[in-house]
Amino acid sequence: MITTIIRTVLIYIFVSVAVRLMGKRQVADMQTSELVTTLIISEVASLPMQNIDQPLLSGFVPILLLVAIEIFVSIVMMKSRKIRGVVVGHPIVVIKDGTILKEELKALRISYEDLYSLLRQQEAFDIQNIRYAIVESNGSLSVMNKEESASAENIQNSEEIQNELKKIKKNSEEAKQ
Amino acid sequence: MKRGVIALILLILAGAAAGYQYLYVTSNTVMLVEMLNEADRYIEENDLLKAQDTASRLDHRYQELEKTLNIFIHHADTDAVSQSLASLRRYAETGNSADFLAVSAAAKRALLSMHNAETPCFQNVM
Repeated sequence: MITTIIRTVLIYIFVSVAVRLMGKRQVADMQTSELVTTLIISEVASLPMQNIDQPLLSGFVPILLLVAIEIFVSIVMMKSRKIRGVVVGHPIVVIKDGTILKEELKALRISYEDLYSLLRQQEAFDIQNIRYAIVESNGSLSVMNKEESASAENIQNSEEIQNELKKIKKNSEEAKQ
Repeated sequence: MKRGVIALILLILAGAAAGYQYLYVTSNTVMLVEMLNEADRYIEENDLLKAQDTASRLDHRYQELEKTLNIFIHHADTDAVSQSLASLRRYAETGNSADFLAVSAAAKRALLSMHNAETPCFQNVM
């Protein structure tokens, strides 16, 4: 039992350092790849904690490797938008100028109720007042109201958002034809 | 870039641990299997004293190695070999060749299994 206690403390310290090295403090800030890595780390860490027959190294080495891979992936994602798109996806515009974009919602498998709930959490109670609502690649919802849009040129002019808006415009033109 | 360097260091650490484990386990299991073969030869030649001596040396050597082996290998696997080697010495003392050879074969199989498990081949990965 003393061994179990020592191993548990060591694993806790090790995993805390490992997750901290990944550079995120809150689950809400994590991209999907980081969340997956964290889940796998917790699973791998629990095995030598429960089973003292299992060497501690058989938990530590995979965790070290996972953290290293995650850091490399995040560095590559910083340098390549294409790879970032493949790994974590792109933000998706779901509301534009007060109109809910049904096709985008369907593609994301988000129901209207889920969308309203997310909007309420962002303190957006009037859809007509929304310029853009964007589902980010980590699943959170960002809302820009019409009053704010004039002063937020840099964010709404980001390449990803502009590409999404072009795609939406193209889809609606094709639908009209 | 600092995180990139940290990631590289982590990779090197993981690689070093894996490399050391591979070298330590494979070299020592080969040595132990050779000692077992030597003991088998003595028993087959009915040279009980030498068989006893080899079995005793083998047991002591394994007990020293086991402490480090337990860092890399499941304790259940290392314990199984330890039990086999402990009984080998007694069989040699009593001249029980048949049981000696049977237990020796089991210990060899377990050691070779530890050795083969270190090889990064397709079957081991899967």
